[in-house]
Amino acid sequence: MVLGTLTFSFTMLFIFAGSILLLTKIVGYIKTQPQATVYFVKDTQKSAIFKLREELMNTGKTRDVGYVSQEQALSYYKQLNKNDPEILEMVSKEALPQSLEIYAKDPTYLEDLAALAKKNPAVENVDYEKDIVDNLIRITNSITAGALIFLGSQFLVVFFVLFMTTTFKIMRRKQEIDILRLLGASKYFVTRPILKEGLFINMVASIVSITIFTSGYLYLYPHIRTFLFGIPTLELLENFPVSVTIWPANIYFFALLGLSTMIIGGLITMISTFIAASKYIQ
Amino acid sequence: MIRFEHVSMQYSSGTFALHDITFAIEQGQFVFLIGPSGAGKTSLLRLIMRQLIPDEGSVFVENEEVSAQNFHTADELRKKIGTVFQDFKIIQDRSALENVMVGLEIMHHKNPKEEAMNALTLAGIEKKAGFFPLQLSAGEQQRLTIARAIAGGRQIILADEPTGNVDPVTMWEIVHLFRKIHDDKRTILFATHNAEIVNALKQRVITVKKGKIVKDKQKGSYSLDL
Repeated sequence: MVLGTLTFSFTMLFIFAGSILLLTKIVGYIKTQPQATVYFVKDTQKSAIFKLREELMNTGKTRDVGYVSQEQALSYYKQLNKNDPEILEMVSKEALPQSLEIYAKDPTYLEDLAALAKKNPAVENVDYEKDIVDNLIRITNSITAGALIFLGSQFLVVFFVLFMTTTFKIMRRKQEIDILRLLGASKYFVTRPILKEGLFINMVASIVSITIFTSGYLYLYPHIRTFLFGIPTLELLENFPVSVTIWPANIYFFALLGLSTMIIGGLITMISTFIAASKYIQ
Repeated sequence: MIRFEHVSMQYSSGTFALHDITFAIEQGQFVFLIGPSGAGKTSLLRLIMRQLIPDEGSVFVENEEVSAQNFHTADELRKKIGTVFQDFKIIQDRSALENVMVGLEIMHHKNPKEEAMNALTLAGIEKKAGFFPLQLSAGEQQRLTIARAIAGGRQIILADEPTGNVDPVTMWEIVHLFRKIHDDKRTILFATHNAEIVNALKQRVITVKKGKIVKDKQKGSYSLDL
């Protein structure tokens, strides 16, 4: 019963914690991509482009504004279509306009920045995926908020289950505990077997849940890969001794998730046991 | 070794459970505590164990005031005191040996198994070491609690009606065992209703009535009359 409840709660924790982490990383990745591109009419002077770049940067709303020359644009184009030689033959650098890639401090600034750029007569077009970025961020924030509430409630469930279990065990062993206390046993001495049992159940529940979660991930991976097409490898932790990737998730990611749950679950076990012992052992 | 100084305790109704109790017990003394039911004998024993705290006065064990508000080492105090009760207070799902060993483990004894066997031997139930309490007679269960009380060299033994649940033959065996323990210079405080035992042993007798000490006599006899 206790093992089942904990396993269910931990599996839910993995699903929601994993989703939050993945979404956060994806949004982080999207924010690193150019959020708006300003294309210039043919033969625009570089000085005019750099003047607009300066104007955009002076607004204080940009993290960076990068200049892409026709040569660079061709290079990117070739990279993107390297498997299609026919297309590559058809395109020369003259066909590709010069551009500025805008990285806004916040996606909400994109509209103002685009409007400013559009006023410039040398600008042919401003391309930005405001709605997509906005929606993605809005959805991510909503999911994160919902998931955090759910995570919090799951932690409460875990705490409550462990607290009630410990209380029940103390009540069941009340006579024995009273005798041990009479013999000079400390509260720690009498609660130690209960704590050990709780930690063991927590460990088993963590292992079973991470196995379920990993199996579920591997089963759904082909579908998720299709859905997240174009998202590159995302590292969970920077400057970590081993590469822990959340997308696609590697063995270290699952190990880290399982270990974190064991530690957090262990802490909750200790706290709930401590509170129950303080309350019910005299 | 044990000292009460003007100890009083009141029930919530305001009546005294104990009133101005003062006495001292030296190391190695065998003291009977007698009195009718509800006189306050068990309360006195519980005060020594710091299971109760007096409203007034002080209780000292080995010159340490165990009744003080800032006394935080009740666990350590209880490791020095062996207890024997009428209702045995044995852990039912542990064998006789394990019941004695657990007390020694609490005391961090270096060799609990050997010491537990010694205590069981002294109590005369070494052959029942592997038996569970339900497999033991009432007398054997009481011997087991005595073995647990003396194991590890506990120097103070508090016995609350230890012969209350045993037949007359076993009763004298238990009394004999207490005498044997007393020969090791342990301090024994023995609460009882049994006049025969008190009269036979001729030890110090403290008589409690309605929460007061009404008589305290060396080599006394059982008498509740004043």
